[in-house]
Amino acid sequence: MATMKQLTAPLLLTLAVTTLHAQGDAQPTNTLPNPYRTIANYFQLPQGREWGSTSAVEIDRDGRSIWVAERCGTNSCAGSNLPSILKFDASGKLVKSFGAGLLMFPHGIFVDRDGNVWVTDGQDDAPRPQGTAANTLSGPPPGATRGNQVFKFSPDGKLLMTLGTRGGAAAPGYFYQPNDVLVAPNGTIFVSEGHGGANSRILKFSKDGKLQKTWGTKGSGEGQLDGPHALAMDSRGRLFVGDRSNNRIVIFDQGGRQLDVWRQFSRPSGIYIDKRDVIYVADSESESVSRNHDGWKRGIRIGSARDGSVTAFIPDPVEKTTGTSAAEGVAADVDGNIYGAEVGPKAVKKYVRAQTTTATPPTRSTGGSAIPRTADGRPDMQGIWQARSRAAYGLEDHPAHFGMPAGRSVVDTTTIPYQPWAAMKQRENFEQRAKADPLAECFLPGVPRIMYMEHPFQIFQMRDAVAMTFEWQQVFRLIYTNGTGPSTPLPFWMGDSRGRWDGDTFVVDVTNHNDRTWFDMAGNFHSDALRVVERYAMLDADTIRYQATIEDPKVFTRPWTISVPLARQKEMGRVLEYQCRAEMEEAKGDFKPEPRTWYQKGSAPVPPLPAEPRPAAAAATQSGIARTSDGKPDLSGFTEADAGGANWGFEPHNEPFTPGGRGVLVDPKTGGLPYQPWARAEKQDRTTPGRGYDDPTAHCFAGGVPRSLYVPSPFYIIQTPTYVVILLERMSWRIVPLDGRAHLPDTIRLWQGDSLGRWDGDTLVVETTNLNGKTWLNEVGDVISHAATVVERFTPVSANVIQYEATVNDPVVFTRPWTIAMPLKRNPKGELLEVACLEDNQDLLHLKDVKERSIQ
Amino acid sequence: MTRIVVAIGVICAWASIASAHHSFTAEFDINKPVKLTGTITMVRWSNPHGWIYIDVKGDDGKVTNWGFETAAANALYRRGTRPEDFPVGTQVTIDGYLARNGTPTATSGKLMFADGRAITIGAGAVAGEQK
Repeated sequence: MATMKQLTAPLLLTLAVTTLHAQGDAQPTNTLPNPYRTIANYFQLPQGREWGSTSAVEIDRDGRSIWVAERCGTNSCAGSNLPSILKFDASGKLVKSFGAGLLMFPHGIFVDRDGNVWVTDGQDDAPRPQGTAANTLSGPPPGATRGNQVFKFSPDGKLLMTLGTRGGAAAPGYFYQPNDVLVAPNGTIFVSEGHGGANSRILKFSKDGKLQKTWGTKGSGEGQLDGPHALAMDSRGRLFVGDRSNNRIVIFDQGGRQLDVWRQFSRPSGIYIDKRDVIYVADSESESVSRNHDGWKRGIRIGSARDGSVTAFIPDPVEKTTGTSAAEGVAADVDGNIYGAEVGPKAVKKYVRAQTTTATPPTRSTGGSAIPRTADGRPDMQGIWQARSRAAYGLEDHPAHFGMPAGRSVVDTTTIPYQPWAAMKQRENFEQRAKADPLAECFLPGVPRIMYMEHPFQIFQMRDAVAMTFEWQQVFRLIYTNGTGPSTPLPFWMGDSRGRWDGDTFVVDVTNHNDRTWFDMAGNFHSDALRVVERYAMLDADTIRYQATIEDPKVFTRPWTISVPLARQKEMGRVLEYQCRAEMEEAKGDFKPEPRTWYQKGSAPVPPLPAEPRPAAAAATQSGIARTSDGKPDLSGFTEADAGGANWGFEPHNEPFTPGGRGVLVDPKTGGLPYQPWARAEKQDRTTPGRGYDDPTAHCFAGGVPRSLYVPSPFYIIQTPTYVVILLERMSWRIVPLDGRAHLPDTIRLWQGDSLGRWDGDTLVVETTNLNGKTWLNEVGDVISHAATVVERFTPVSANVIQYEATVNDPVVFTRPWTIAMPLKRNPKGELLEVACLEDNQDLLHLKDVKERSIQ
Repeated sequence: MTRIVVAIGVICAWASIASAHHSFTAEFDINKPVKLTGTITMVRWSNPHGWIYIDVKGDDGKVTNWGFETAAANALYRRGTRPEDFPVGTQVTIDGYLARNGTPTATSGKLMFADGRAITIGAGAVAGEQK
């Protein structure tokens, strides 16, 4: 006995000290708010199939689809021929399943950045050891022929890699009871193993599956683990290990160096960390399976992986049980919806944020129509809107001035909380507003000002992006909703916008502002430290409550919020153009369009030239092109023309000072563009230096059709069932309705024309008329007039290539129609930046000098 | 102006400069290449083109502030160039072509630092924008 005492005392002391060090004064985190409501039966299994136990849930690379590995209706797939790996779309519909007969006990799941699906098989097929025997095993019992492996599948379920030997192996081999798997962004693979056996460790493999390192032994001390049940990684690349039986999360660097120990997230069966470093931790065992953690409630704790704070808690609705209860596996989609995979209750549950109660409580519809919703259940804000407010003139209460009607404050604190110096600066701005207002030069208005100017705009919603196209100067906003943050530190006039859904409210975080925009005509202003958080809430089908919270510690004493109603413009069939700068320069005589090409009111219609029917685009569309849910080719995303130098001539060219070009004219094949004599002479004249000033793009005006697509600048295609919208990085847009409407009246003439689209098989055909005839086709002065009809054909030929053709039928300029062609290249990783062309256009002054002084 | 190297007959590799935005042949003169050394006084990371200004000392001791037009801000950024790559006060050599209107302005090709490092800052074909 004495010997025993001597041995035990130091051991206990060691344990106590370790616990004290690691746990600190960790008190149970049970009383946090639960802002979520539970959807119990969200996922639909095929007829006749029941949910078995599952601890494995994960989000697809798309941010919204859900992967679950399920134990074949019971708690083991041994002897079953059901597929255990299931993929559901965001609506809960089963869209894919595989893995039948391969896994015994799917336990952990991970989707890597390429979309491949990794699953651990946590048991073997040997007779399971009875009683405490399992605790003595550090490898599989004799007779194991299957299980204890880790599998990598392609997104379609093709087995790409297997780690470990069939049936398993003990250290230094692997695995016995692999719990979870994680692939770091650089491809390094981490596996945690040990689920009640005598082994407990982390294994690190190279991208191609070679074991590089292991760490951890079973125990509760520093560097030890007891049942490392879950793995997750934060944005800094720290590896979070759910050290379940020790009731703690241990954080390591990727080389196995211990960085921290957290106990505030309770007993971790599952851990998930999203792209914003929100951490979700599932406890399924406190006060039930495990009694060494009494006082802590089971459930999902949500907090920050950055600072370790716990901010919310979804408790297990089951109060008393002795088995595993609530989620063991946890994941969250890009919208912040949580999914919990449960072993005991045999279920996967969805948790969505209940209606937000921050800022202003949501106003119920007062007799208005119900809120329309998109297919994925979001409020459908699509349509044309305009602010119903005088905020554009002044955000605060203000009397009338010339050109400025009186108006009431839209600021929550009535007046804007300026710092003293900034209040003086605002008064100065007000006095100087006629010239100092950035809009006096037609600069981009910035956010939030663009939202409440008295010009309409249209909203388009896709899964990964929301777009807004404004009438004013053809500004657009592209708001990524794919969980990403700003990709550059560059300041933009319109800022960098990233959106997410908070229940039914669309929340947009706008950062990366420059310091040159104003909030209104009254000279209210900000610095480049501005951050705007916008909230869009539909009050009824025709009203959005728009709120923007303004933070700028350099200018204001505290954040403040404006609130402006947006009203749906039902009568307005489309958003037209107000090209502020072009209208201003024409009015001042700084830009003079060529009278032979531009539309003048009352011009008689010019009948189109007889056209040879163009053969349908390459009919045999390749497989592998993405499709939308309505089966159309999915053209959406970041795209750039492989333009063959078209902006410097359509025929092959190789001249000094001009990028070479392979030639894009496909019809006629010889002889160049089929000009009428006057137009050929005009084109020649435009190549002299004195004419460089006359190219509208030198003035930063819109490029027109088709030029906007082959200027060397990328664009982003938005596609919905009824619209294709092309957002051009040089800050203009083309909206293409697909709803079969008629062209605008002849008298409405636009820089980007009036485009209508339709699907011809897998080809999007866009017909553009109503051009204003003020644009050039390229920098070498090729001519196009108001009489042109342009037919463009967009045909996807592979996953990332769209073949593009444009046929121009212009009876004022040419003797016959002609056609150019080039591939458009998609880049799923590309993001649009901002080209605010007017901000520093010194070239125009030079070109004006050259023109006026006839310098050759 | 005395430091302007007139490289007649030498067509630099980057001679096919172009802009996304306006005609280079209209604004700059292919027959008047320049190569100037000076100290950076200002960098404008802007659109439709960026600008780098350098103080150049002539043989007569007179200092002239020259503006070199670069590629657009986004094009530079996508090539990996950053605003902080050009600290004010740094001595650099920039080659380019003179503006036609006779101002101390040129379009740029390469910017070279004193230690021999070079960055392509010009627009267009140089950057592989056109193929």
